[in-house]
Amino acid sequence: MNELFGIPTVTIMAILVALLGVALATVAAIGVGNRTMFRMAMRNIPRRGLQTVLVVSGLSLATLITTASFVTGDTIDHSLTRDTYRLLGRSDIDITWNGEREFSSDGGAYGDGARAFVSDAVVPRLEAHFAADPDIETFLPFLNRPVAATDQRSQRSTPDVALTGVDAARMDRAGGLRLLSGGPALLGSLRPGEAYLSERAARDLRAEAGDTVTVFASGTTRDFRVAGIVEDELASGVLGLRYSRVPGGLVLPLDEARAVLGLKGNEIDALTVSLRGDARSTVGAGEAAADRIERYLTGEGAGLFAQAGGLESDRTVEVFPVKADLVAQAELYGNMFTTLFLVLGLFSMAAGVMLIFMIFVMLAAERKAEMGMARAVGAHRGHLVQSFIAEGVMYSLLAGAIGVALGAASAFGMTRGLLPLVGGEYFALIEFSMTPVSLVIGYSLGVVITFITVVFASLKVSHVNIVAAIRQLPEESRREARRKTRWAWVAAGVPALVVPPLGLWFIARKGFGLPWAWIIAPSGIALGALLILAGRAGEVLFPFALGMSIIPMSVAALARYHGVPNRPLWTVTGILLGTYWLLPPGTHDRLFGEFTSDIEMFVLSGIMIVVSFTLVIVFNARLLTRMFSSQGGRMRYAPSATVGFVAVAAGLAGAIIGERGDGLGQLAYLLAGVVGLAAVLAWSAVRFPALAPAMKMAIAYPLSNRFRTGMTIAMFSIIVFSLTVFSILLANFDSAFLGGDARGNLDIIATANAVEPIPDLAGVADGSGIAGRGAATLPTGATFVRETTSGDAPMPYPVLGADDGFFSSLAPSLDAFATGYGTPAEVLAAVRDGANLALADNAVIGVNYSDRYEWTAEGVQVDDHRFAPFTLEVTNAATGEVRTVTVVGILKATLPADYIGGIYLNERDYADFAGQPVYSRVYLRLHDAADAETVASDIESALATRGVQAESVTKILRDAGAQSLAFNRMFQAFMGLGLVVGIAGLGVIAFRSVVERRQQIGMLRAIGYQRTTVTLTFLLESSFVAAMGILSGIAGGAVLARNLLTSEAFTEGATIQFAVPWAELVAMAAIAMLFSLGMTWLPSRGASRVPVAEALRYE
Amino acid sequence: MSRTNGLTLPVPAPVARAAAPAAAAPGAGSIITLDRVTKVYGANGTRVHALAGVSLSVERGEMVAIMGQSGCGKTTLLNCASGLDDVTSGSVSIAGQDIATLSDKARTTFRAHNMGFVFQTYNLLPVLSAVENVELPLVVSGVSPKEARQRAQAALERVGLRAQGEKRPAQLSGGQRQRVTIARSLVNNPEIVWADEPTGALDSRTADDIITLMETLNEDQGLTFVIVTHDAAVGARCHRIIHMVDGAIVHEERLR
Repeated sequence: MNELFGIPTVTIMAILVALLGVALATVAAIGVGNRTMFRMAMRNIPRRGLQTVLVVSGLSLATLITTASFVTGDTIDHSLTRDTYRLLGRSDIDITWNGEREFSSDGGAYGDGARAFVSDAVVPRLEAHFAADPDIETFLPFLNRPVAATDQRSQRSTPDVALTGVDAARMDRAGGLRLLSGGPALLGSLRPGEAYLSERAARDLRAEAGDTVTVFASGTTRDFRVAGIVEDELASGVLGLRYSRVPGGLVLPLDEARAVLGLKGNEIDALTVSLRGDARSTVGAGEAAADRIERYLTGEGAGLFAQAGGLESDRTVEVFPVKADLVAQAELYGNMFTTLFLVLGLFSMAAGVMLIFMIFVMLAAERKAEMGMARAVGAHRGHLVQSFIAEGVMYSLLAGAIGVALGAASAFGMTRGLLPLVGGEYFALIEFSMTPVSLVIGYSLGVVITFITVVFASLKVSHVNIVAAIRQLPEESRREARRKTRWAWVAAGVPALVVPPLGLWFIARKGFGLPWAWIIAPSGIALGALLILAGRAGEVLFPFALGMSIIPMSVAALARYHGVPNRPLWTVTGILLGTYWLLPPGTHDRLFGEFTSDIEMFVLSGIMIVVSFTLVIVFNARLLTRMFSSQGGRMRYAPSATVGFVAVAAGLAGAIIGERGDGLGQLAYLLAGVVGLAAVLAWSAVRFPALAPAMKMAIAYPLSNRFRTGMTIAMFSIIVFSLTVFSILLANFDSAFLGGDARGNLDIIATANAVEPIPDLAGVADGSGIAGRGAATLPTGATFVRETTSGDAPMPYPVLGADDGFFSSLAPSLDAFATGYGTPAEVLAAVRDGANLALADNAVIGVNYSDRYEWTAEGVQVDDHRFAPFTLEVTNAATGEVRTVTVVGILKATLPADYIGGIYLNERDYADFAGQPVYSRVYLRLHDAADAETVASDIESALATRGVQAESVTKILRDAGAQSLAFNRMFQAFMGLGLVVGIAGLGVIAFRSVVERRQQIGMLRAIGYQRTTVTLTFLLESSFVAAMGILSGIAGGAVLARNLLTSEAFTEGATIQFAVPWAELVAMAAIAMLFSLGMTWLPSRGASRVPVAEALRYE
Repeated sequence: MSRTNGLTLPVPAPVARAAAPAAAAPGAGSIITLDRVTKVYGANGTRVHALAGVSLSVERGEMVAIMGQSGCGKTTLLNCASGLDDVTSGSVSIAGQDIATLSDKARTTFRAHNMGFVFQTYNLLPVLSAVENVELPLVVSGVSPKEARQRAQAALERVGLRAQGEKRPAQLSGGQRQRVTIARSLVNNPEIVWADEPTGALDSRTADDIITLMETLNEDQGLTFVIVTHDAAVGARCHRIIHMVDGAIVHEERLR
């Protein structure tokens, strides 16, 4: 990767290394300037081995995430680049008169216009002109046409093999093709009747060298002996990267290919340019060479293709430095992954930063007496800060190294393990790679983030009251008073205002001695107001929403300073924030106007929702203690019964609302589940009094330290929140686009060669199983579409003909239909019997994403599955026919464009538009969809020799889904790394708690706490914190996901029924909980084994 | 469940309390017997003989002070005698029960039902209020929350702190904290209270109040007190002083 966020990675690396240098220089300065504090810092590191390991593990997580992001980007970049070199081989530049070829598309390279031939006479003319060119070595003409083929030995057929004619002499001069078994495959050495088969075609046909392959083309058959299996590449007819669905190729010398296709004898339909050098070294020269060719073709050689090549004059010849473009695109994709991972990783990094902060707060708490003593004997606060910074930097340097190793391992696991495991063959091209620059950036970024956090944490924890620290008394929180004015600082602050925060600090804090509350709160209010204004002006949501959140928090900080009690103040603040951030988008638009937003809002909303929930929980958790600490008597079950009643009521509400209310029913179920869990716990606390001592302590400690508890809850909550939102969105999109409904009433699609009608399937498949049948033509590649209401130029889009059976017998489901029709059946009948009416696939209105065609009907508004009929101008470039058709129905099937994409006309309209239809594709609906794979297999077996390919629609959806599923799982796995942060955090806290409370544990054991009770206390304490984090994360995530999925702006018109993936969420919560408990088990068990007498004397 | 000399092995606390004898005067029989108890810390070359064959008998209702210089083994003796620590050899019998032979679980239950502890550093839980700290031994013994609260308040009443029950330890003075500790040691109606330097962190006046309180409890309720102390004034208020040097009892002084 050379760039990220538009900045060269080398520059990013230099900046980060410089910042790392600052961190190291700081430590060196401390080491030189204050050896005692430095020594104290260094000696603190090995004091408690296991805890040091945990601290280092916790600190390594930021580096892990940054490194994993960069290395994943490296791997994607490297894999795509490598496959680009494989695909293009010696072709560096593409000269095309059939439109730009998109080699990176899932569907492979295709021209976005009607394919035309030119005469190969253009080639020697070009060679002559560029004979002296320093870079151009040769021009490589190709002929490429789909044919059907059968291997006679294996009896396997395929309807689509790219019969590829190659100029043998020129290709062999450029190095020839490459045999799979190694060595070059020279076309000049092929004897008549011999052909090379590409690896992909050989796999489809199960063919081997020496087999006879029969080719069906132009109404005749020809047999070829397979001379060898060659690597898949452009020159062997495979026009796509490894993951694409393009067919394999059968390679012949040009003349022989023309003979098979029944051509005149000089046609070519593709032309590439090979530059001097090997496949990789030519990339740099591609763009300049392409420019020279283009200049020639638009200048001196402008008429070459029309005159010598016989190309129609209205066709444009374009030149693309295809290899350089694809390599650049590979880098772009690598960047995309790195960027996306870094953004998604922000959740984990936020959790990591909280963990680092907390680790230092706990380190300070443990060393409070030492710190107090140090201060008592003359150490300044700055000395304590220095000591902590020195210690922290040492931890983070070590942690960075571990983080880099773990990050690289995580990236390896995700790209080489998870992706191929879930996505299968699609990801076969992935090859792990990492660059030193990425590792240095990952390391430096992680260490710098840790360093900055450590500095802030050190500043916070170094505040100690000497007496309180020495005597281990709790710190008293006193209202900070204004100090006297120091005019020197005020004077120094004026020029320092160049850096506003520094200037304000000098003037307000150092100069006028204002308390922090009076500096931070007004600054926050002013900043919030500015952000709101900026957001409104630019209609950008991020600054607006941030401003809306900063203001109430700033006001609350000021109110707190003036003595407003914590609980009501922060509860109200939390509720305000939560209400704002969980507003349905429509309500927000109505209240505040419309804004634009991007993925950064996901991160901000996560942080704010978690902050709001955490405030409410932490300042109201005492209510929970009431639930779990019954005072006995007849009413002892009252709290659990009340909570249970609420749970049942919520469950009933969910059942009553059901599928209505845009998912409110699902949220009610979620509420019922959470409250039900609380009811069970409350009941257990009463029913099993043996739990009471442990439960009492387990709740008392977290409640006594709101900061620490809040940070831990927030840490868990933010990760669970992000995973919940992601899980729900994915599950709902998968269900909408890949679920049962996505089949759209189709079960099997059988396809023959594009130029041959599909045989009658009645005698092939079990007729009794077929419930409906409809046939359609295949795309000709020569049709164009535009909305009549738009001024846009026509764009390529298939216009297909369908037989009567398609509309009546098959009766595909409709996603939406035009107003004026009562039922889908009416629509289908109207298209079948009417004139100039059409159906369209659902990518046309943006419900599905087309992986092949760019055109969509922008102006169509779908409301509750209805739309106003819209008219299209359809053009047949081959015949010049132009018609206007009215689309009245949108097909529901959410299949890749190759299977369903198109505007469907009835037979008569199609015949007028493009001539008599050749129905090469049949759609079948079965009585029992479960039989689809068997029936498809029967059809293929019976018609193998006719090159018919039959696929179950469910399988097509599954295969299509596998790729997105693999990517999604990778993103989830990456975000799940944040859970590691949370779980490690709990472990760190538990270990620290045991040390901190050693003497108290001794006392508890002395007065009768059993070992098991002590263990249970710590486990319950961790469970309480983890459960609060997990449940609040799930609740916040579910509400936000529901708001998004019911917002048209987010779903872009697609109708998605909000559903909660219960199994996935429960599994996630259970795993998080189990690992949290596992992580705290060791310290909890350790706590129970503390020797009582020793613990009592512990200091 | 076995019953021995008025002390109980694991039995439901209310039963144990009901069966506990009323206040007994010194001389009503040995309640604590140590026989050639040794305690060795460390291993191999760094072995420290903290107790060197200590034998001791304390009678029911007696108030005994253990005195000696720092490092002489006073606290170790208290820890071993109360079952907080294991002995290396010898036997410790509390009311006829050899506690060295009990499992950790049984010994813990034994402590919960029959002993109270007072420490120099109070060892109150900062996250709980005074009354919650006092009721802890009852909660752990399975007493209902309502009864535990009532008894904790009664215990605080006995030490004169009923009004301070809802305060956290940090909000109390040193003397008040030690009273809370004493209330906690009394709340389960133990027969023995072990006190390790109970006045060590207090000024002389507060220390006097505390020792007076202990004296009263000893006289009125027959509680047996074993007090480790440096303070001669504390020792002077006890029935007997045991002097230790280098892990051994070198002298006993009966004052009353």
